[in-house]
Amino acid sequence: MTGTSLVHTILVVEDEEELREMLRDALELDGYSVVTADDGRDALEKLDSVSNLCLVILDLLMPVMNGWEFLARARQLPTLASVPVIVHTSASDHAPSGVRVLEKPISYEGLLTVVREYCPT
Amino acid sequence: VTKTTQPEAEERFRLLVESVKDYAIFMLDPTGHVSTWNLGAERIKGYTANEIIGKHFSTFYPPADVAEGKCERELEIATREGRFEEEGWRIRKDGSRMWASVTITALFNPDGTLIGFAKVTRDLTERIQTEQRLRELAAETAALAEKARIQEFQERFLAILGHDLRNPLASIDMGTGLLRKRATDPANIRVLERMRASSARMSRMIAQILDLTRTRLGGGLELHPDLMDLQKTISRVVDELGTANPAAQLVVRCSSLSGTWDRDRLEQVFSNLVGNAISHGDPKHPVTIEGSIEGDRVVATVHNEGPPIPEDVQASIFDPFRRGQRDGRSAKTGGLGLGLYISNEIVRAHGGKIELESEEGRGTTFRVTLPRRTPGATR
Repeated sequence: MTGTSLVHTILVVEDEEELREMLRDALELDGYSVVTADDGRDALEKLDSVSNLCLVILDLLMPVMNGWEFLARARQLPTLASVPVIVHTSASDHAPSGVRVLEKPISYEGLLTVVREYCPT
Repeated sequence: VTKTTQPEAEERFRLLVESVKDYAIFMLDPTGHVSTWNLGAERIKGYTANEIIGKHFSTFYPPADVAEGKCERELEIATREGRFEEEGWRIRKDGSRMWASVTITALFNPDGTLIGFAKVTRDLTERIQTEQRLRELAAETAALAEKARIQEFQERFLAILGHDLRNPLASIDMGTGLLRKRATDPANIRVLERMRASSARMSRMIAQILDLTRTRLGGGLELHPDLMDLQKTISRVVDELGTANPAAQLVVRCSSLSGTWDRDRLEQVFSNLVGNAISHGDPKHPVTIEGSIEGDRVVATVHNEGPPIPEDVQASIFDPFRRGQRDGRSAKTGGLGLGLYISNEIVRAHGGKIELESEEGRGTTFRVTLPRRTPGATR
């Protein structure tokens, strides 16, 4: 990393390993730094170690701590208050209000188009 | 202590028996005719002593039992064995049935001569009505539990369709897209494009099955109506389908069509109708989409030229999994053939309707009529 270009970090919160790692590959190949978490609680625990957090991609239906609960807690954290959250879900009917929703399955191009809006490379 | 004489004791006993209210206690002579009657008998069976004394006890039995000799048989058993006991149906004076516990005891003189029978009857109708009600309640409870079990299964099924199948599909979509970006070899690109098309088709099919399940099993399609302009939705659909089908000619004649509807759902409807028109219409002629406001309703038509839809197909065109489904029509659009069924359900959920006109020489027109305000919409 050079001093002039800042690598954006994206936090991917997704309980399905295959999809989680596929999202990591897709985003890393596009030049982003990616931190992954298996569920909401894992994500909250990893937050402190993440720098240059630009975007959270959040699944809703997850064990341990689901996306709704994560979102409710994240909104109270100063470190997350200004970070946009995109919900990536198959339960778009039940998505919380006020967040952008990407319906699963989203295409590779569709994902990158949205991510670049928030984290321009 | 007062010494009681025999006749006094008998008199007291008679008074005691007469005053018992919960049991019918009475005597029959050796031929089965009623010879005494108590308060309980009057209360339970409905006859006064005057009405019943001297009548044969078969008066209390259902005619079918009398006809098959049940009364005589009971007296025979009581005579032979000392007593007869059973629970069974008896008839009250007013003709109503009661479930009774009956004991008939044979009475003999010290020399062994039969002098009659003592009959004690208790009305158990309430008990068996309670038992019957309990059985019905148990059956109702079981039916409710079964219903809950089916509902739980349906919800699980919906969850599998909606979530569990889409996650691997999302992964496949992402992966093919990623590889497609990096692929340079034309053969690899071709294969990846096919994989991507298949994955997109599967995604559409899952969405269709999910919608079918919602309409058929669940609480119906859930709408999220909001103020919108249908013209913009139609334009977006036409742009998308035009890009995907560069050879298609699409003509839109429509001004602003504002109303309160579910934008995503109506996009689904027009995507389906226009997509069908492109797939099945004569490619030499344009597909025409028109929209207008007619009073408190909006009417939008999607028209294509070409051979008409056969009449037998027209009759069931909005049915799911209709006969002949796996023929050319649905195979051509690459779905399950549920599109029109779901479109119709969406429009109906908005309080509207879809009509079809398809005739030789006049092409095919699907006409969507929507009230400008979805019934029950809050805005």
